[in-house]
Amino acid sequence: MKGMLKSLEVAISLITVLGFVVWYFNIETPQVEFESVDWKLKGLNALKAIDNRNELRKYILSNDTASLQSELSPYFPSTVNYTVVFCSATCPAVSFTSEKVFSINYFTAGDFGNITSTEVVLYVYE
Amino acid sequence: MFTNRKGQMFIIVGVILVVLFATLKIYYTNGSDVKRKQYLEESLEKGKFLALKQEAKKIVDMAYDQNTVTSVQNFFNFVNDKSYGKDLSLELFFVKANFSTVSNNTNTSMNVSVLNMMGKGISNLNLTFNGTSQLLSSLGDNSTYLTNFTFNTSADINYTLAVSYSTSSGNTNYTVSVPVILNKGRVIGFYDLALIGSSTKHQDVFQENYLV
Repeated sequence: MKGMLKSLEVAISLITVLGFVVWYFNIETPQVEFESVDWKLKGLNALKAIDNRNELRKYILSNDTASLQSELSPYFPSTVNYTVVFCSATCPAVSFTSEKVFSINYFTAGDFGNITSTEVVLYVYE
Repeated sequence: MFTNRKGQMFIIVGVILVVLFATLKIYYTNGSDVKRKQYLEESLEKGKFLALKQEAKKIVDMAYDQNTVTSVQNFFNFVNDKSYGKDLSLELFFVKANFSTVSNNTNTSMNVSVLNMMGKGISNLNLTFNGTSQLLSSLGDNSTYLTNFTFNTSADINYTLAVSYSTSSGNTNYTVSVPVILNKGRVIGFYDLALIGSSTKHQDVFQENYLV
């Protein structure tokens, strides 16, 4: 009886240790979602860099979203799509086929001789 | 007691160690991801704050010959009305002081405007410049107060404009530097700007001066 108990204890110990080793290396912890905040940060920094080169306001004043979009190309990989809109009181409607869309807002107060608040919205999607 | 149950004790200790290691793995793997995401979110909010701060400085320069206070008010109301009203809120206290070209030994008038956009009213607004004080009992949210002071100098001089007020949160004091150069005018924009997010608050007090 005593021998059986000891064997059982050894078996339980082995199962526990082996089970732990297998589980430990296969454990899947809950995934934290980074993508959204990562793209927003990249987008904000890209718009800021273009603004620091005094080009953003030029595009806003001429309502030239196409040129701003091509200025943004070095900041995003080719697998990522993006669209820019300029908003005053209202924003132009934009539609997307992708379900994963992240938006970044950047505000400007205008330029010399033309003080008009504008929101630049950059949509990033895959 | 324990010598007879040595095997069981090993099992119990083994189970405790397994639970401990598993908890540590989850904590460190998931915890570092959460911290990284938190860091990125804070960087994003800080980036938004710095972009607004940069814009606030530019307005004083861009709108110096227009109504600067209205331009500042319109811009920050615009920002508040847009997405910032949803997840971030802005608090702003703004003082603009301006005077035209200063002539030797001649009285020069300095216009001072105070804009309160802190989301609450302020009381006992006190402005002191060159030995003269002006007191306003209350100034509501999103409101402006306009006044003026006079100075007379025969040399370049650094004045100070002392500003103090009370809110439900307590008393606040600022010292606005007013550098005067003969034969030059100046526009001064003084900001106390705060961007408040869900878990962070970015705030800065800064001043921009432009010769005109």
